Amino acid sequence: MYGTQNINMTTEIFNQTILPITDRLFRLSKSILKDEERAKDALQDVLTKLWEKRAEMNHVHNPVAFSLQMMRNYCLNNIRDYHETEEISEDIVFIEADSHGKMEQKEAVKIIINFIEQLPELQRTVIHLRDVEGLEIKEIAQITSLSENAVTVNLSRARQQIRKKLITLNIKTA
Amino acid sequence: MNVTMKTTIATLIEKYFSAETTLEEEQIIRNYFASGEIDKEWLPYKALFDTFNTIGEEKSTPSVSFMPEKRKKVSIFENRKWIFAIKAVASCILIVLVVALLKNSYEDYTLHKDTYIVMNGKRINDSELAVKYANEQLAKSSQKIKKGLSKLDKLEKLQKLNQSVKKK
Repeated sequence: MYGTQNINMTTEIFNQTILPITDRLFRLSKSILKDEERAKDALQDVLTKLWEKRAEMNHVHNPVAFSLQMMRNYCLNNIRDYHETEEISEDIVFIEADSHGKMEQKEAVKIIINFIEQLPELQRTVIHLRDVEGLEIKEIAQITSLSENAVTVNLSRARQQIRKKLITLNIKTA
Repeated sequence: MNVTMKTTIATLIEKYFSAETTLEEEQIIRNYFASGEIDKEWLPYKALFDTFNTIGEEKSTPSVSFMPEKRKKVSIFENRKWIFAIKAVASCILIVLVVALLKNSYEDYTLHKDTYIVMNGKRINDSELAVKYANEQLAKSSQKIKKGLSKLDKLEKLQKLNQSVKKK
């Protein structure tokens, strides 16, 4: 009886903590792998792993950071298994929006996504976790296995790199 | 927008790019860029925060159904463990019974396969010996019958005598 109760409890914890962050896990895997299909596969595998480890989850201090860390490690292994060298994705062709040489907000978003994709994985992951997922530096440090200081350094490098490229954009006033 | 507000945002933006802002300060920047009235020179920054929002809205829709289904499967398996165990034990018993029955009938079959006799409670499979023994027994009984029949001879004589008496 006790055993079943224990399983039910961990199932509840799993449903309450892990299932609500599946979208976050997916976005992180997509950010790292830069491929929607592979990101979906990664999500399924990681969710299965998390389900199998649900009993251990009781002792995990921060299940969200724990899950995101598992996802990042999974994706890094995935990249390694595919023998991918650090991606040097080429610049997309610069879209000149209209006759006035100004681009719409929507197009700007596409281009900025490409800017982010061109960052090295670590910087990309750090800026994603902070600016998209709104995590604390401490949590990002746990996920990336870096010191908080190293996280801050990578974050500012990523942001400044994007800032440099942003200045070249000529966006039309809405 | 007043000047103080603008300088505040300008300072926060600088802090943001050196990764010195807290989450709360970053929220102030986000709120400002969502408000609509944005200084022209900051339009690219607005596009940046729009991009973060766009990425953050992405959902893993096709995979959402995956987990509950998976969860159901696993839990059913765990609940059915006992049923499986009972089924296994039941099939073992059934197999043992069937084997025992088959063995029994096979022994019956082999028992009747050849001629045999039971001599003083002992089974004899040697057919020659069996035939010999049977003949002996049959001879004995036929002798006894002959003995019995010989007594009938006297009766026959009596009958003849009786007939001759009747004629006279």
